[in-house]
Amino acid sequence: MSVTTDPVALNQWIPCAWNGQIRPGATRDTQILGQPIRVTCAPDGAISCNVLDGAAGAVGRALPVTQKFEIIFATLGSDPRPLPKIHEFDEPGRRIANCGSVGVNTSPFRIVENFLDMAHFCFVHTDILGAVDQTEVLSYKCEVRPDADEVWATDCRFFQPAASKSAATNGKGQLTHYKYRVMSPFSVMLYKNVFGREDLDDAICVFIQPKTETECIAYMTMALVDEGSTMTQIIDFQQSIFLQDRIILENQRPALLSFAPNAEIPTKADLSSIAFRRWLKASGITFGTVKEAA
Amino acid sequence: MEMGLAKGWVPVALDAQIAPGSSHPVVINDMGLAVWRGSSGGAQVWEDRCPHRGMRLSFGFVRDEGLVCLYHGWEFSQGGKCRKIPAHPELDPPKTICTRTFGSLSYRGIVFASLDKAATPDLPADSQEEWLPVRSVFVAVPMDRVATYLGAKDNVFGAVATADGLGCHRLALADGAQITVALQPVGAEKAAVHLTSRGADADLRRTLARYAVRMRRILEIS
Repeated sequence: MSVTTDPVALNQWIPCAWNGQIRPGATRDTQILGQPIRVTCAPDGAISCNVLDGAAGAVGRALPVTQKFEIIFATLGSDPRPLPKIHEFDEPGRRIANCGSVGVNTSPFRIVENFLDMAHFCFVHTDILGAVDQTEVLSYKCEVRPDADEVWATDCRFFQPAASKSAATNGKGQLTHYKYRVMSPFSVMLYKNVFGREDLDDAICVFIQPKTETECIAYMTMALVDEGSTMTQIIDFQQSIFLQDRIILENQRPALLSFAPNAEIPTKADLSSIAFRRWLKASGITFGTVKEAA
Repeated sequence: MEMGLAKGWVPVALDAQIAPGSSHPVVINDMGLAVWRGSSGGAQVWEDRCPHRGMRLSFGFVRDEGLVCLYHGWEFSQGGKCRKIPAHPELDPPKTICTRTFGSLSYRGIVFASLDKAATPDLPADSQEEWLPVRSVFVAVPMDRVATYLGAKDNVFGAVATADGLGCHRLALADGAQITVALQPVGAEKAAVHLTSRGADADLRRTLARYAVRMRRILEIS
């Protein structure tokens, strides 16, 4: 596709690499919102980003870059939506897990909705995040918080056999408490209560790089309270969960999200996705959605 | 060469391919279908899309004579009505929640689908007996090129395909065996060819299957 002209999509910080992905002295060519770019790591470790122009891919104007949550972001816009505040990443004693990135061929909004959804735990993540005999999604609350302009789902509860690596080693299931938060059109996170610690939540985030409307790269980073597992175990667990979701994500039709009222049929369990679609539509974004016939 | 069993009917698979309790993706003119079968009875042909969040139903699993979507476990009974939504176990799903279903029938060992509510044709008495599966091959050429090739006398089977009045084509081999060929338009540049036979023993059926693969090579290279 050619570069999008959608101003809402353009004015976002878009991930283009994870922290440490590009070695000093090396570059990485990729694409954001249809625009080819080159991300460069200087010998001293400084990161820069330039557009690549024309058929020959000539190095063009520099783009603003920033680094946060173990991810390098660039923007094509002049006034991007600020990156969210996630205080768990600054808390001492937390383990920061950089789970790298996974390519997924679908619209970024299908990825966000899958992350918000609990009803699929028993079927896509059987015996890990959900059991076949405990499929009910209990009612929860959902709102748009106007100060940050974010969608939040709270009071989410789901019975899980092995909700995280540390719960699995304890050998029994739990009624896991979740909160979900959509921080921007292309990013979503959840807070999962730590097994045995009602006052503490693990923070698990997905930041999405849309290369085109239907080809994305998903970056996962986490700020966890887990003293028992190795980093490899933590990352393996999250990546295997995500790869189970990818089978679904790449086989939803259409890939683009529709705002038409009768295109898809939600239920009460889909409260957060209903709020997300309404919030997206209100933002005016068209990138990644089914375009209405004129 | 007309398409399909009779006007409006298109072949989608060999009966033998759609085993009881299985579900398969099929594409007709770039449209995705899910072809599945319960523990017994005829193959069902549905739109390959769950009405909930668009997940392809062909990835689903067959349970209790219904098809269950792999994403959230929504269960659909034969006829397409949703009978269970696991996220709300006590809920009786509204009757309006259903998949889009199409007509289906079996003829000479081949499953046919009707995408636009064509009337079920009268099938002759010979339609089910003795027709055994040979092969399906997928060819990266338009369906019409396959038809032209089979209509020429120097094709790989050594017999000219003739329309049999019901939209399939029949080849009569020298030793008395007969082949039914049904052509499926997958996309503009891709077709499926489904073959069954009558009066051919196992060795001959294996040979015919190899000829079908040779036909594909000939069509794709030229």
